Parts: sequence; C-alpha cells; structure tokens
Amino acid sequence: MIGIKQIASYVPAGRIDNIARAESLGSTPEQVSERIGFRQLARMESGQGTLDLAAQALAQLLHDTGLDPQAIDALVVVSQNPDRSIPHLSAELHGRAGLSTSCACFDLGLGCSGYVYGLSVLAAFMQANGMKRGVLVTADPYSRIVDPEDKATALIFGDAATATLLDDTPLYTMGRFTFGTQGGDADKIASNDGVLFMNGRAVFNFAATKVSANIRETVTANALEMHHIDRFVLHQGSRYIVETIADRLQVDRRKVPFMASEYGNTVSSSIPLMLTEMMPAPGHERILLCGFGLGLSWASTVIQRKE
Amino acid sequence: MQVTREDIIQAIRAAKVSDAPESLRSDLKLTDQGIDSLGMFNVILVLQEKYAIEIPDPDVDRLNTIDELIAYLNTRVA
Repeated sequence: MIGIKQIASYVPAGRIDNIARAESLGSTPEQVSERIGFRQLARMESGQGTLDLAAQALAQLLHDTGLDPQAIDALVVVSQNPDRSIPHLSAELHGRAGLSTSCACFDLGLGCSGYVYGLSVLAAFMQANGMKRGVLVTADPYSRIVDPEDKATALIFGDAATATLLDDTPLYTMGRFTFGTQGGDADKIASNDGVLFMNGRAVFNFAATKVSANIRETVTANALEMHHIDRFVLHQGSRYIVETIADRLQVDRRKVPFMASEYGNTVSSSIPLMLTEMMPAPGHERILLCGFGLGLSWASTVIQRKE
Repeated sequence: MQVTREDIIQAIRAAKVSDAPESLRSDLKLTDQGIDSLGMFNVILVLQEKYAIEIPDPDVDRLNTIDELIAYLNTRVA
C-alpha cells in the first residue's frame, strides 16, 4: 500500500509585513491578524523562481530521508506558475536534482486542491506501475501574479514549496478520496492577462457550503464519524474561512487549526506545510485533508498513522 | 411571509459576527457597528440559505443596514 512517508518544505526567508501595510490596503492590523489571518507573507528572493523553490524543497526531502535521488521512480509537480510553460517543470526539476532517467515525471496544473489531487494521482500511478518511491512537489509562487495594490488578494498569498515522499512503507496510509468541481464559477478566481482576480464573496460562499458538505461526505466515505478525526487540515485560504468551516461543521476550532499566520496562503503547499509540523507530533492518528479553491474545485481524504 | 428585524438579528446571531446582535441599530450601516466585510459575507450567506435565494453581488453592494436587508428580502421572498 502506497502512503505518505515524509514531507519536507521550503519557505523563503523573505517576509512582507501585512500588519504594517494593512491600512494602505483598506484593512486594519486587527482585521489582518484576526480575520484574514496572515500577519506576514513569505516572499521568494529576487532572482528566485518556481524551479528554485521546488528544488530547495526536494533537496530538503533528500537530506531529511537520506534517499538516493536515483531511487525515485516518479516525480509529480503541482504548479500553475512555472518559470516557463514549456517544458514541464517536473522535467526541469528532474534535471536539477539528478534523478534517474527511468524516473517518470509529469506536472499537475491545479491550485489549492492540487496537493490532495496529487496524492491520489501519484499513489494510483505508482500502484498501477509497480513503483516503490514517488515524490510529490508543490511550488506555486502567487507573488508573480498578485497585484500588490489589489485589496482582494494583496494580503493573502505567500510563496513556498513542499516535497512529499510516497512509498510502500509509509508513516500514514491514505483512505478514500473525494473530488469535485464547480466549473461554472471558474472565473471567480482567475489569472487575467497575468494578474490574479478573486471574488472574495464567491470563494467564501463556496468554502462555507460546498467544502463543509464535502468534508462530511469524505468522513462518511471512509466509514468514520466526525469525532473519529483528530485534526482537520484544511487549505489555509484565510483564518476566517477556516474558522467558518469549523463552526459550520460544529467541530472545536482547536481541531481545525489555522497555522499560516507567518507565511500566508501558499496555495497547494498549505496542507503539506501543516503536515510537516503535525506528523512528528503525537495525537495525530487520523487526519482529514481538504484542499479547495480555484476551479472552483475541491479534493479530500483521510490519512491514518500506521501502527 | 414577512421578513422582520428579528429574522435579520437571528441571521446575524447564526453568523456569529456580533456579540450583541439585539443592540444593533436598524438604520445604521452594519460595517459601522463592528461587522466587517467578511462578517457581511457570512450574514448574507445565512440569509441566502434561510430563504433559498441567490443574492447577486450588485445587490449585496447596496445592502448595508438591517432596514435595507428587510426591505430587499421582502421584495425577494414575498
């Protein structure tokens, strides 16, 4: 059974202070801290690109696990902001990291739901082809497409990358996945001429209704009840969205943590960034993962620590 | 069915956006009484669900007070 063995991350050292610039963007320090939730946003350095972020995360994973790069059978990269559209970013990362020529590489063009989609796609690909070790990388620096003067998006997105090792002796097994798309609202979050647009109210409504319902469906699909879940790891769209979903699910907010206040909404990296902090700690036997956002799309599953 | 102030207060309570919904003035902007734009999204969503209607963005832009919400909803759900 393929599952999650280990996760590594790379969060650039650069930060934008949202508290200091709140009022210039029509907000207040209190609203930034308590409602939007992102006190700081991580920013890649001048000269860094998506490949650099991805390579840092992968290098960290190889360092942490001691894994031989030649032993990786498949590499999948989730991004919608690669440095260039051709070739695929995973091939460039493959070259940078010196992986085996027998390693399969492909990209997934998804946003905030991309990590959970990626877990399912890569695990299924590995199982179908008898592979033992695969790596799922997320790297999507939205700083490239955010208008720094746009009140709807400028206080939200941070840059980061993660790398997740899937193998056949995992720390966490993965349960049933659920997916969905509401393509009629695709233009509610979109890059138009290279600049990100987001209809905040539409995204909030979507998260509060569709995502909450999907979480319940996912728990049921895994033959569980809500109280069986130790932590609900939701995409960190904003503190208010995470807390609203927790309240709608009638789950204690402490089980639905908001952990992105010091680096921002990192799109497909938000869930694995949280897992890097949770997986080594006790009390996280059964974790629900739910990624949701542009598309509008969502993907969820339950992971369980192996005895 | 007539929408009343109490219906709006219930929605504000359900949205958990005010510590004392009963004390809110009906004629003043809710955003001037401590409910921010994110809180307004939530109140509008609760009302949409309660009355099974979709309130389009242009309409939301002019729904700022409890009185305006009452008047608008009475045109939509009557």
